[in-house]
Amino acid sequence: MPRRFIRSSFFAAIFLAGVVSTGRGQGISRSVDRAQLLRNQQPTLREESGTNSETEGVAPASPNDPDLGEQAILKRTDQYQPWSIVVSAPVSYTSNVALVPVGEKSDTLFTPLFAVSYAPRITRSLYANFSVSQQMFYYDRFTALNFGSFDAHAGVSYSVPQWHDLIFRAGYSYNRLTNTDFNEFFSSHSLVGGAELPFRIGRAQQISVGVDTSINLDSEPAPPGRNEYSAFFGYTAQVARNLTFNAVVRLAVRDYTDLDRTDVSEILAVSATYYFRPWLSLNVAATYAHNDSNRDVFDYDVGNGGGAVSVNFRF
Amino acid sequence: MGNGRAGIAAWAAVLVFSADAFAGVPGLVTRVVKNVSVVRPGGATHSAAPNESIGSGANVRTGPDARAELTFADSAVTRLGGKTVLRLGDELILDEGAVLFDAPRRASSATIRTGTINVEGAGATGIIERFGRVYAKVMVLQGTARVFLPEKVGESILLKAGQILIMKPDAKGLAEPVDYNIAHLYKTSLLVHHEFARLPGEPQILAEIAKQQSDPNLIPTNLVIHGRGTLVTLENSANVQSKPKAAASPTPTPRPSPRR
Repeated sequence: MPRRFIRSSFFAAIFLAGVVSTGRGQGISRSVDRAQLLRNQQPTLREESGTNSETEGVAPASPNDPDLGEQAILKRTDQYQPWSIVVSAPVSYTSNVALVPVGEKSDTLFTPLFAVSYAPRITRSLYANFSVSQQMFYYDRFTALNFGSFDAHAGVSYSVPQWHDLIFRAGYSYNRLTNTDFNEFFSSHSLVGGAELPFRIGRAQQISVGVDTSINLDSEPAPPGRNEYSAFFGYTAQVARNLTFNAVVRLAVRDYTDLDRTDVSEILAVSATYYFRPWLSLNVAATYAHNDSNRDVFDYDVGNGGGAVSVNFRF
Repeated sequence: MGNGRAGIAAWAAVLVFSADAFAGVPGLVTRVVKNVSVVRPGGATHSAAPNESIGSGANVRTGPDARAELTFADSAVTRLGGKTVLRLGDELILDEGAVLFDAPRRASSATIRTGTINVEGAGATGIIERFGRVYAKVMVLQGTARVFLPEKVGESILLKAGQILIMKPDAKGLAEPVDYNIAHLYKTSLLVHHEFARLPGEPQILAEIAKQQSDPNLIPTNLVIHGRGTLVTLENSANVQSKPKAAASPTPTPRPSPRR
């Protein structure tokens, strides 16, 4: 596909968290967790770029050649579409709004998203990527926790076909958290990088393994700023013509630069995406996260589930 | 075609009164060109005759320069090229040779199997060719055909108009389709025109030709596969774009192909 081949899929695992108002630093820290967990990237499933399978042997010239007719081969030029606009309307449920170790409260969340990205192809294997997005988090019962997250990113990605299509990514990220009036209460600047190794299984399945890192350059206020190091294992399958299934397990270590705090999170996310059209999809997802911190008040378990309708225009 | 329509009506009437007579995919012979034989279950062989009904379990075989056309109750049309063996059963099975299929959207007889490969052609017109264990070829002129390996989950391609797929008949994975010039094939294929009536899908084929010719993303190459086989030859541009229809001689001289 155009065949049929398999679309690359990005969709946010719906991951909800809340803020416990035990202190502004802890509150902002949990807001950062909430915003970041919802940007859980899935491993990419690259589009088909293989060549025709080898054909061995040829039929001898035959009096019946005219039955078939002459097949004049055409070349299809790639029309790469670097721009992408995404509008998404996720609704989800969370079992632990406040991300607390005891006394969990549940809630329902609406998190509309608008994102624009531009990914020009520099060479055959090298792409630049520039993106901005704004996502709002509206809680049903705990409306005091409502907030917004603005993200901007600039980076490059490079694939090495000789190394099993290994992908390297590096870039700069800016994150700004605001209240619903867009008054800032947290911002951070980070350097991000990662590597991903995909393994194709036939035409419809892929396993990916990879590592990601985020190095905090500066954050305001400082305490919630952190470095993050994670590894992931993902599986993607195109189970039907318009239906894709995805599962990811991620282990993340978060080292807070200004605090004596280190968190280890295990995250499991499963999702399914149905494409009504190439530009219109419905995604349902469920996630579970377990967080262990050297400061027990930040331990938590949370389960989330929900769905989102997304519109994605490429041009 | 008038005789053909009368034959279909008569055959449909027979079906109504003897519904158990045809299990699987029975067909009506609507065109015979030269040596076409029918091998019944049990091995009895006879020459095919126009308006003959062929039931499940029978084989239709064409001689070296013969052609035949079968029409099914669901209005699907299948044309056999020379040196072709087609079995009728729960589905059509192409053991050897080339067939053209033209089936309406809800046709139940539009699935053709060759080797491990299934082609669902309801709503499409296409050509399937098989040469022993060497290769199988699927081309679509209009509509969309689903090509899949029933034994492998996920191995499925939607082959669109203007795409050709070449792979081994016992393929364990599907190859990538390539684009080909529909207009050129349409002009040069004897299964489309020669000694046959117009295909039901002809308006759609002409529409796909117009659409392909206006697609700026498709660039002609000078690479051509002459008829059967997978040997690609380098042609002059003029030959590719304005090649006249192939000669009607039943035994054209095989063309030597220059090495690339």
